Amino acid sequence: MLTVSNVTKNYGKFTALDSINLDFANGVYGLLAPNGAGKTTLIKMLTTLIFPTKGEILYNGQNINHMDEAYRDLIGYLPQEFGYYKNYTPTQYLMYLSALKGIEPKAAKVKIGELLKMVALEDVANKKMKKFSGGMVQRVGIAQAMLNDPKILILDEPTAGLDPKERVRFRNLLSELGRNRIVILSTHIVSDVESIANEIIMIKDKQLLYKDTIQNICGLLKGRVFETLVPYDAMPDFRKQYQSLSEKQEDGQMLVRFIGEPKEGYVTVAPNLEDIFLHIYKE
Amino acid sequence: MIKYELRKIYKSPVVWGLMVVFTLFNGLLIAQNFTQRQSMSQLTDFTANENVQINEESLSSLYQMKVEGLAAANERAGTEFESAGEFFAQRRDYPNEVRAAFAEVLTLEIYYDVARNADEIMAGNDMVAFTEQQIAMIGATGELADTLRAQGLVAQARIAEILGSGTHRDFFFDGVMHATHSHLFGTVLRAAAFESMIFMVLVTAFLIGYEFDAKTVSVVYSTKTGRKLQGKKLVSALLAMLGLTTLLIAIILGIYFTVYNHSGLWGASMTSIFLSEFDAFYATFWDWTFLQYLLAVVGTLFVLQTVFVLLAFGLSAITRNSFLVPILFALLFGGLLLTGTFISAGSNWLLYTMMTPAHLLLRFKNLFMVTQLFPFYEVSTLLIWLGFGTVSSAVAYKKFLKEDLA
Repeated sequence: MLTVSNVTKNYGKFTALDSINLDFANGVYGLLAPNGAGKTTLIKMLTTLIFPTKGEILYNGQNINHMDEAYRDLIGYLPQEFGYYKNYTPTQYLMYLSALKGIEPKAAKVKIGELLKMVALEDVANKKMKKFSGGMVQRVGIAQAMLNDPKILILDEPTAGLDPKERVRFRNLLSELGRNRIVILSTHIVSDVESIANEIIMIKDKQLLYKDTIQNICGLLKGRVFETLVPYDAMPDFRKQYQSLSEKQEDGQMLVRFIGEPKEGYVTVAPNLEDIFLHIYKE
Repeated sequence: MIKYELRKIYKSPVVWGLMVVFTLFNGLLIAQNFTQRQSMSQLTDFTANENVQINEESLSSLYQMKVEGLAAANERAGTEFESAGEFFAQRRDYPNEVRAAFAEVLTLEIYYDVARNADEIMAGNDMVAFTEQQIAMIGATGELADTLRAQGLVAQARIAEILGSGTHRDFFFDGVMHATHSHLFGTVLRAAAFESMIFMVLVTAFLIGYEFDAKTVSVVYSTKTGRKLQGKKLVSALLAMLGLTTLLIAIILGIYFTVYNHSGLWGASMTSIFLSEFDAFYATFWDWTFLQYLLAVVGTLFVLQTVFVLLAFGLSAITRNSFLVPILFALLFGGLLLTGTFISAGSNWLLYTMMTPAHLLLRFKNLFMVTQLFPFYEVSTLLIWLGFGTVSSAVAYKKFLKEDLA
């Protein structure tokens, strides 16, 4: 169990996160918030790259910063900007990171072979990474996060640069991994977590807003999301009256998905996570 | 782990590019004395067959060589000069081969005259008067002048000790003719020390700042090893210092001793009467052979580089900027040299401000010499700065362990 207990992070006079409390058990958690909301700050504290100003983060009751190496031995982390050595091959880079993770070279070689196959990079295992596309680099990043078979897998915007096929493969992989470990997936892309997260964490105004199942979170807008066709010339007024969630041209009019009150001609639809996201972070 | 850090260094083209540039430059420095090579070989030819000590037997042998050389030169020139000195005093035009033959004799005459008068020449070194000259030159007054006078007496006592033990009665390359001491230690090895310092600052800054430059901080420092990698990087920088400095020195000394044959002179005393040059008196504070002195200087160079690595580590860990570190280091180096300009010429603090690695580097040819600031100047300076470097590195490391890496 990973517990974030009353954690605040200040940078000088600026407060990035305020009194955050969270518990993580095995499963996939989607940390969903717009850019700049404090997701990366929270993740950097979970990976010991930065330290809380107040409060503490505990793993099975022990402060992770006191656990030091023992805690970091449990985590796998893919940062938002995955840095790599351009003149290294994936194998060389992963061997280096294996050494940093305390994995014996012999075991590391076997593991690296498996992981590169998993991320479909086995054919370029010995090619210098400076020639890699963004997606290929991201896949190396995913592989390195898995090197030590982590009990806590923390991924910050992991699908950046991946094509749709790779995203699906990746999501399936995370679902599988989340069965016996904590997977924390930070993103501002709703579709990344909608289908796989056991729980969604939302941060707003530096504080924790929600930590709940997708079903419960979507329940917040139950009976308030509708669809209707609106003539093009009526759209400006309609947007002033209601919060538009999505708009699509259909039959010479605009099919609008919006938050409102029941009315004749308005079709009630089931709210999804994107509706909630847009509603919460509408400003 | 350390092998991976070292790999970053030896895979860097900058390191090998610098090594090539430095080696070429050092080659030019070594070649500065190339014209002396022929006359220097006269001594090594002599010491190859004779004892390096000046004694009746070696003097007699040298005299015989001188006489035979003069006879041969006179025969070639069809002249009857009584000495090579007389030949060159004539200032007449002779064929080059004749001049060369007399030049060889002149060299033997100089060695013979200095060797025969070794005691007298050594006794003529008045360190008290030399000290007074130094005091006048820097305008020292008060306690500083008193301290320098006391050091002058220590140096004078050392000369008396040398005269008593007779260690000055060893053959070595004549300093007035060849200036080998200032060439090897003051030019060649000092350049190597500077080059090694440049290497060490760049390599340490490169290694410590590597993750920040490659934007791999988040990946690397969130691993099990974490921030402790910084300590391993310091060990790697020290190992790189050992490797690169050894290579640099090995190349330099390899070339130097290939060009300038020193066979027979490795055991010569570093208080030899021949060591002093036209404007500089050289004799060590301790009874060392040339080989022992060379090892001591090379050892000093390595300790000095250790200090530079530690200082560069401290700067790198605090700034996390591999480009800024060389600039700050240069400012520190210059600042240390300039500190003395703010100190009164009447205070002993002027001497203390010279106990820095920067001054040590600039006074390289005076290492362990009686003309050094004071006995154990090198050891005390190195110990102080090793201590300072270790403490500053430890503080920087501890700070890094507790810092946000955002």
